[in-house]
Amino acid sequence: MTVHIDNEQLAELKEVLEDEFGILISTYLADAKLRLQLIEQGLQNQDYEAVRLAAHSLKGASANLGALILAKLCEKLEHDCKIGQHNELRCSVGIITEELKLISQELISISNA
Amino acid sequence: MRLLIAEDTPSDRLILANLIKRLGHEVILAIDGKEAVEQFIEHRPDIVLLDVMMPYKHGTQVAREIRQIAGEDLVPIIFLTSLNEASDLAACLEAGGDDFLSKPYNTVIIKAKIMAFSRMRRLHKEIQGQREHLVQEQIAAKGIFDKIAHYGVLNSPNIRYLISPKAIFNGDVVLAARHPNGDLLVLLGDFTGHGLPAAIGALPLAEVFHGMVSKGFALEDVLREVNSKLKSILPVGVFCCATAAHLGFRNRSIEVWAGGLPEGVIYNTQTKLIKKIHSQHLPLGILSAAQFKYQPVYFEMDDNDVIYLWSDGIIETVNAEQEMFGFERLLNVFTQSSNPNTVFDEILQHVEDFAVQGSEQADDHTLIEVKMQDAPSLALQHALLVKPKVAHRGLADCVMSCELGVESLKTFDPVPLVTHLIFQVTGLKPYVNTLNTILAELYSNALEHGLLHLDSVLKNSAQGFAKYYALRHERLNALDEGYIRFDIKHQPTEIGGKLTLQVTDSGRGFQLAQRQVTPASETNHNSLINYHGRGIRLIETLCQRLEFIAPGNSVIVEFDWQWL
Repeated sequence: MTVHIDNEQLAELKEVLEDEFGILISTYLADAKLRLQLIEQGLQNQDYEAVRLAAHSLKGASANLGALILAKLCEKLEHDCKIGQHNELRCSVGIITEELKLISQELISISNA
Repeated sequence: MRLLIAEDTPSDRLILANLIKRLGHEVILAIDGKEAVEQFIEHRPDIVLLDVMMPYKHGTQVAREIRQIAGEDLVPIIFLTSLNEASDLAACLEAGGDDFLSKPYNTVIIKAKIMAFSRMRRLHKEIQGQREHLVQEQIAAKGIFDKIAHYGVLNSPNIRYLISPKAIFNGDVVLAARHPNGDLLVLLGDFTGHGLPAAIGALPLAEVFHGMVSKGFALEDVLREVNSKLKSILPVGVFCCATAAHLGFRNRSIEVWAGGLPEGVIYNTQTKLIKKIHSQHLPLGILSAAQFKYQPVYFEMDDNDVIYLWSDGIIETVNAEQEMFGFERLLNVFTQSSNPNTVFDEILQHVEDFAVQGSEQADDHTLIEVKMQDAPSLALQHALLVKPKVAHRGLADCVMSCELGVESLKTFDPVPLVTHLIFQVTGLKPYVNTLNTILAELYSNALEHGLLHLDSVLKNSAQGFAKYYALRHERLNALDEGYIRFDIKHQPTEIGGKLTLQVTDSGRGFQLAQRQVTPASETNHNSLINYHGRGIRLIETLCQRLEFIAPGNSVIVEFDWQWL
């Protein structure tokens, strides 16, 4: 089974943040949603630099939460923008959207546990 | 410690803030680059954690601004990055970062980095403190140093000088002191090296110079003493390049000794002629007392003469092409100048224009200008100023004699000694200039004319001038018999006292040569002056009685003085 979230890393965060862990999850999810919107918008406007920046931010934030697959997907998106390979972008964004949905549910359930 | 976190991704900011708080540090937050700079100014954090890509202001720009604000304080800047490629990470450091921290964050690494930078800051603060302490000490020491090294008559209106040091202390020294007879002695020295070690040698140099000149010693004696002193105290390899000049306003001559400095010049503001002062000796502090050479060059003095001396810092200033300013360009300043009064400033301006703009000065710059014009009247003003407090005790009624034989005459100048003896009569101190002049004149007459049979007429031309001194040297060395005797008598009176000086030489006198009995008539007087030089007329104006004793090898001078 594919590991979408590094549970060990998340456990450590929970220990560090204590009561604020719930806030972290909701902050991350709200920010991730915003970045995804920026990515979509950039794609529509063919503003690939905006796509790259948003993907870069989402990559860092996701890595910090242990969302390793999402981070990897964002890295590919960032990289493709950077080297000007635009034909796969739409497809990548679709996968990122699915992955974010998936980990959102997982994170919410961990946060509520 | 206080850490500033500038990060625009809220979840990353939250995680990092909590990690660092748990390590026991205070955290200041900023959500973009602009706020980061504002927060830095307001809170002055010890360490700054900066996201590279931030809205409003890029992380590298923030880093530059923070560096500028921090000034000399060390504020470590750590870039937060999710960049993975090595070149991107290296770019963070090139942009002014001290380190980087990759996402995902790792507590252990964060802790270690904060520790390392905190240690670095502590060391930096320690060094800053020590440096400040050192600078304070140097400034305090410099105050004392300047009092010793730069006092004297450097502030006379006929002297201009500039010492532009590379550091607080420097190895260049400029000295000027007044001889008791009003003559001026100047010295420009350049010790090897820079800073404190180079400056230290200037202290004994200045002490000896000022002490001996004010007691009336000749330039030769002063330089010999300085040389021995420096030789004995300076480490091997440290010495002092110097040019020294005795400006004799009464006998209208300039005596120069030069050792190791670049050529100086005597510039005549009327004729525009330039006489060069070449170095002909090794610097001071190298040779032992026995090996030390004193072979001065004499110049006839003109009122329009101006002496310029400089250290090699001026000549060796380099431009962008690594060319040196050099002596030729320096001479051109003189030939191209339209106003002799501004040459000093023009030299400095030319050197400044020549140097690479904005570059650090490579060596100490030192320059001195001494004008002959006005100097004699200044000397007299100075003489009037010498009125020390008088105590009514000391030598009063006394008779003293001092006879010097050939060996003494060859190496010893008795004038300072006799001046010093006369000084023991307390009330005579204000008359030091006059008495020293009289003594020096009588002594040189006895030696140069009485014993060495030199002819003053020689001194009427420039070549003769040099020849005169060459002959003096030659004949003195060859002298195998003779003496000069000083008889000094002092009688106190109601209002002061009467000093009687008799100087007698073993020569044949002038009667034999001139067949004159008494210097009564005008013609006789003229021949006397030819024989004895211009000085005799001067002495007559300074004292109450001047009498030659037949056959002319002995002179009596009476000097009546009053308590001032």
